[in-house]
Parts: sequence; C-alpha cells; structure tokens
Amino acid sequence: MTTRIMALLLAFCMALTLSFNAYALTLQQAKNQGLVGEKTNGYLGLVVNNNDAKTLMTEVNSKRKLHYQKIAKKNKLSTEDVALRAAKKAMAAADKDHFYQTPQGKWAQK
Amino acid sequence: MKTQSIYSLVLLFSIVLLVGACTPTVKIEPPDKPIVINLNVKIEHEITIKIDKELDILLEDDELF
Repeated sequence: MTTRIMALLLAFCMALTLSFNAYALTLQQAKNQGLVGEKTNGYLGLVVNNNDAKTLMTEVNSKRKLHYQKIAKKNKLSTEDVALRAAKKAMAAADKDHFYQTPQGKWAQK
Repeated sequence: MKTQSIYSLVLLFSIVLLVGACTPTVKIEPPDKPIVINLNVKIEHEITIKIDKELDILLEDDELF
C-alpha cells in the first residue's frame, strides 16, 4: 500500500516537473539545445520534432509576424521583405552552435 | 612697328581660322529618347537603413530572437 502511494507521489512529482519544464522552455534554451533554428524566411523552424519546442516556435513566430507587419506598414514594404531582412540579421547575430537554415533548406550549425 | 602689326594680324587670322575650323566638330546632338535616371537604389538603401534600426531593436528581445 505504501509503495503504491509512494509510486503515485513520485509520478505526480515527475508530472509536475515535466509540465514545469514544458512551461519554462524559453527561446534561448530551445536554441541552445538545438531544438529550433533560424529559417531563411525570418521565422523559427523546428530542428528536432519536440512538442514543447513546437509550441514555443508557433508562439514566437506569431509574435515575430506582428512585429514584421508593423515595421512593413510603417515603411511601406511587404512583410516578407522585412522578414527576409530580419532573417539575414538573425543569422549573422546567431550564437555559436545555434542552428540556421541554408539556402538549400538544410539545417547547419554556426 | 608695321611688321609687328602684320604678325598680330596673321596670328589673329589663324586663331579665327582655327576656331572656325573647330566649330563644326563640337556638335551636341540632343538624345531622341528621354533621359531616365533611376534612383531606386538610393531609396532602397535608405529604407534598409531605416528598417535595420528597427530590426536591431527587435533582435535584442530574448523572447523573439
């Protein structure tokens, strides 16, 4: 009986830590762990198929898009043009070992 | 005195002749097509500088880049 309770408690704790981890996955962590990388179109791409990274990627990309649209509108450019320019800058500014997409569409490490 | 004035007259005459001979070669023909100056490059460059500044601010945001 006690072992069962112990096991349940352990499982509960593990679930808690896991969900906490999922929540705490920041963009910088995801980049450091090589889960996500910079695509050539100015948005994040998934390097490793991971649910947490995917959620994060979607969130970050939608935020990026809003900012791109704002800049594009202000300067009378298309959102894609701004995004492409951002991609170049992001790749140039990327830390060592971070992933980026080559023009051929493959992932490479800086 | 007289030879001198003759010399200067000859010189003047030759200058006039020279200038006169040159005149027809300096002929400027107006182009039949309108002159088009393309300024797109400069404008594009200006926009790039402008959005670069805004993008630099974006890139500093850890939640975005």
